Amino acid sequence: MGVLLKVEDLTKSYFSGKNENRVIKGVSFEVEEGEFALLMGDSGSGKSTILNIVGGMDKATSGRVFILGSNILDYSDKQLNEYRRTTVGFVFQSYNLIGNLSALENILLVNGNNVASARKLLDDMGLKDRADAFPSELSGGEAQRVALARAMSKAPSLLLCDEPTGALDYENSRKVISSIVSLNKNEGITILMVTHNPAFLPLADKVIRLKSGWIESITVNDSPLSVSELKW
Amino acid sequence: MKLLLLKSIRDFKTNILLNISIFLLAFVGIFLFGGLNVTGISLKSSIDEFYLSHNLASYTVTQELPFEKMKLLYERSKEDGLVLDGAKQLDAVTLNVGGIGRNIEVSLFTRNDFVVNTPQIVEGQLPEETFEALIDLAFAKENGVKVGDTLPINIEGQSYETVISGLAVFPDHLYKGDAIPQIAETGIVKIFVDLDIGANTFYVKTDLGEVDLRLKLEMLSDMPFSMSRVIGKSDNVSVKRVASDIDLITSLISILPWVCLISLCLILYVNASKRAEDEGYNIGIMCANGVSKSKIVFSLMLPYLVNVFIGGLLGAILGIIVLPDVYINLLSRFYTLPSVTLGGLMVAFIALVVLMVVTTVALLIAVSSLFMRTPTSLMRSAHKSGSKIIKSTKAPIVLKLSLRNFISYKKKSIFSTVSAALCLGLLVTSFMLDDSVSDLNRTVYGKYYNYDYTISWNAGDKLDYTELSERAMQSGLFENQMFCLEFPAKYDGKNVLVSIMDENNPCYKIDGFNADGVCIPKSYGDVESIDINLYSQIPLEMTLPVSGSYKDIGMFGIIVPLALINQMYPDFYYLYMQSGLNTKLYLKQKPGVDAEAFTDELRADYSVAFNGTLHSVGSKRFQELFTVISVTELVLIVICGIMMAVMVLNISSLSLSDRIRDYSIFKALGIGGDKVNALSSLENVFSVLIAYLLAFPIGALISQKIIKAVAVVTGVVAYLHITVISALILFVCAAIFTVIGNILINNKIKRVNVVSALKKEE
Ligand SMILES: Nc1ncnc2c1ncn2[C@@H]1O[C@H](COP(=O)(O)OP(=O)(O)OP(=O)(O)O)[C@@H](O)[C@H]1O
Ligand SMILES: [Mg+2]
Repeated sequence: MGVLLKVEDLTKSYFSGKNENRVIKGVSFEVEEGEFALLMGDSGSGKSTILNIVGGMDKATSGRVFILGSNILDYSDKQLNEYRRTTVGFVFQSYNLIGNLSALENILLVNGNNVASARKLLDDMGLKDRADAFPSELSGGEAQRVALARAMSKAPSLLLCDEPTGALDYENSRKVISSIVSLNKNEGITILMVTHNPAFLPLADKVIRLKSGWIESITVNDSPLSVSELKW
Repeated sequence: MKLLLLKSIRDFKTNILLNISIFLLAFVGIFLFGGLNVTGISLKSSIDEFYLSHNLASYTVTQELPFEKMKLLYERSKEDGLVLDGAKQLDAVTLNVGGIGRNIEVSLFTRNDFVVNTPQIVEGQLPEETFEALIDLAFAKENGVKVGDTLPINIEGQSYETVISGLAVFPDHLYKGDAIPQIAETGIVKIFVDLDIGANTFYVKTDLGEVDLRLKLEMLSDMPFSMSRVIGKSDNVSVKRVASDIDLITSLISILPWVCLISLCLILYVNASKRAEDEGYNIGIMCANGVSKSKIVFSLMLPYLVNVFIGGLLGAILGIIVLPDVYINLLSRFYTLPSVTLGGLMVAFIALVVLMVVTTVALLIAVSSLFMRTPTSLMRSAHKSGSKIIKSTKAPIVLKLSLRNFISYKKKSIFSTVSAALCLGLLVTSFMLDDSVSDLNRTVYGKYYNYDYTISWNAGDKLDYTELSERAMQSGLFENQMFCLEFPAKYDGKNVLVSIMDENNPCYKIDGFNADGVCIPKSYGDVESIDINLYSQIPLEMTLPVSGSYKDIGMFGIIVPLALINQMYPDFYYLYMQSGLNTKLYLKQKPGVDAEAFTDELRADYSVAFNGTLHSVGSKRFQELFTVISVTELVLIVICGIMMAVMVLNISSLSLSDRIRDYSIFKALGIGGDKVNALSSLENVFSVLIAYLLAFPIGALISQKIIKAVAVVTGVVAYLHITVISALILFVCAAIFTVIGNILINNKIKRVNVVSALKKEE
């Protein structure tokens, strides 16, 4: 298996006036193809920042981020847009569905208006009956699964999830996490997920721990559990 | 409280664009409203003031009335409260006053004439001897002459010494000058002579409209009148006439500010209520933490009111200082205006108060509806509903989404559409005015009104009219001419003006007229013959066969071929000459020709008191009207442009704050910039399309009001319409505004930071 994502010496600073606030202080890690990697760490340690940079939504201060060998930090705006459209899928903590489009339409928006495949994705997420519902009519778990289906609809090489279960209760968290894991196990999608929930640790192939902008540790789990095995 | 203030200030910084646009709205709105209003009020009051203080007449009426008849009219009109003056005078003869060396107006009077003339003597007395003169007080002051001085004057080559018997203020006064009399250049000198010469011209001071005045004069004298709103020399203009042009401008100025103010109020209302809704989440948090409602409201209102107040105040002050000055300067290129004193300054400040009240009310309404909800429901992101139109999955998603957005942001869409419609309505007005009025020239002038200029003289002068007709044509100054004899008569109880024409006149084209009959307006009904009683000292009754008719265009005319008259009443011409009625030559001037010069030439050659009259419906008069209208259009276009620019800025910043999250999600999903642009652009397109359609009825209403104000030409209706080309040009203008708005938004979308936009609470 080859390396899908390679982050090298990544730094990110925020400036307020002349004060530099370095929040990512030189981070390097790799995620291999087909891997399910977790990014963990204290609040404010820089997890979302890294994910946003990898997702092509934020600029880094220095370093390199290789996806399938090419450095996205060198991309032009147009290339970045193309990258976001085709290569990477993103799931946010706050779903970020378009309010005036139904569940189905939110997916059609990104999959080139392919109704059949959009319906299939919703079926896979167990949302067959909710296709025509608008975001305001969906529960948090349903909304997050729609967001997941939307991210999946472009068949991304890499799925980035930023605390996808952060706003969800136990039942809904379970549904969402099992969808994510099954994407990884069944479809072989590479996943980098930020979470605060230590219960998910046994599911991951790799756990990257951050501490105030540094990598604290990277641990590899040779025998991850499946969701049904998970006691939680 | 301190913290809330701090929050207001920070909100101000985060919403800087919105704040700037509100500031600009208040500024531009009050600038235009205040400035235009003050301009209008000041112009109108200054002109009225001038008109009153100089005791100027509203109309000049020319009629060949026998003296007894004139006296009767004069007495009756006095009882009726109509101020009539200046009868029987030699009008429009310009003489060189030797001592002064200037061309001035001189009126010659007989002893009788002073019976119906009421100069207010300021110094000296009425003339008693031949070649004594009464002169205008202002003129005397300007030229430093006093009672007892002699004025050597030339009348038709002969020099006379005229002694000034008195100074007076005349209540008539048509002055030479483009608008406001230039007293140094003109003056009225009334010279007492024993010769019985001169046409009948008198001045009327009244607030009546042209038709009403004519009817009143007919009623009082029991005679028909042909009159023009402005008669006299081609360049003589009464202030009233200028006032009628200024009417156009002021009527415009009285509409424009309101259009500005209304659209401003609408936009501010949307802005304020939108802002309150945006703040729903924060208000929920504050409520949940027990912050008092009044404090919340205050913190929300503060930046708005400060913005509106400072913007509006600056606008009011600058508007009052700058706009009247610019506008009046522009006008003074076309007219000599009296010195304008600014008035109605309070209006601008009242508008400022109105604006602040509107803003406050909008915020209060919006906030109170928020307060009715529980803090929890406020903090929960409430999604707009009722936007599930277009279910079909086939419809393009971007189109679907923008339509739904347009509908779910109802208030914003409606209000911004209406205000855009008001602005576009101004543009429509400018085009509609142009189309309707320029068309008037083509459809009415030349069809009904063939002649610009009338030269009339007393038939008693026994001039050979055919010679004059030929001379007019040979001069090469005129396109065509028509000769006629005119007398007032009574037909079927109505006052009519009978014109006797030479049927061989090639220029005389009226539908259905033929040489054997009489032509009467259709409004007199189907008759086979008519009885005409000629008004004069010599009673004459004629029965004439009727053939043909012409369209009723508001003239009280019956046209009779000269040959018919001669055949049926061999004595007529002789009687006519004896009765001393009117002889007229109607002329159509070639472009740029001054028929007055031709009249002067005739005066010099024939020693006859020719009276030249420029028709109020002549092409030259139309031309002047167009000048005024094109200035008006310019003003409309400029104002519409300014308002649209500010509105586009505001609307685009509003839509951006509404959709910033949607756009960021689009970006995060890697949906191309063109699609995101299309989304925002389409919404604007819907708005502008609807505004474009609404603009036409709005424009028609405004145009109608303006046309009514300037309808100097009675009986000629300007049919309001707009040509396809104008509609297309308007469409292009609307499109340009849309494109500018879209470029603005799209530029801002480009600069949106996806990460921080998504971090924001919904
Ligand atoms: N726009 C910004 N300007 C300045 N500092 C920022 C900005 N965004 C984030 N930070 C800082 O960067 C650091 C990392 O933020 P980040 O959002 O990546 O944290 P996180 O690990 O995702 O935390 P959490 O688990 O709470 O979501 C934080 O210390 C935060 O204060
Ligand atoms: Mg985070």
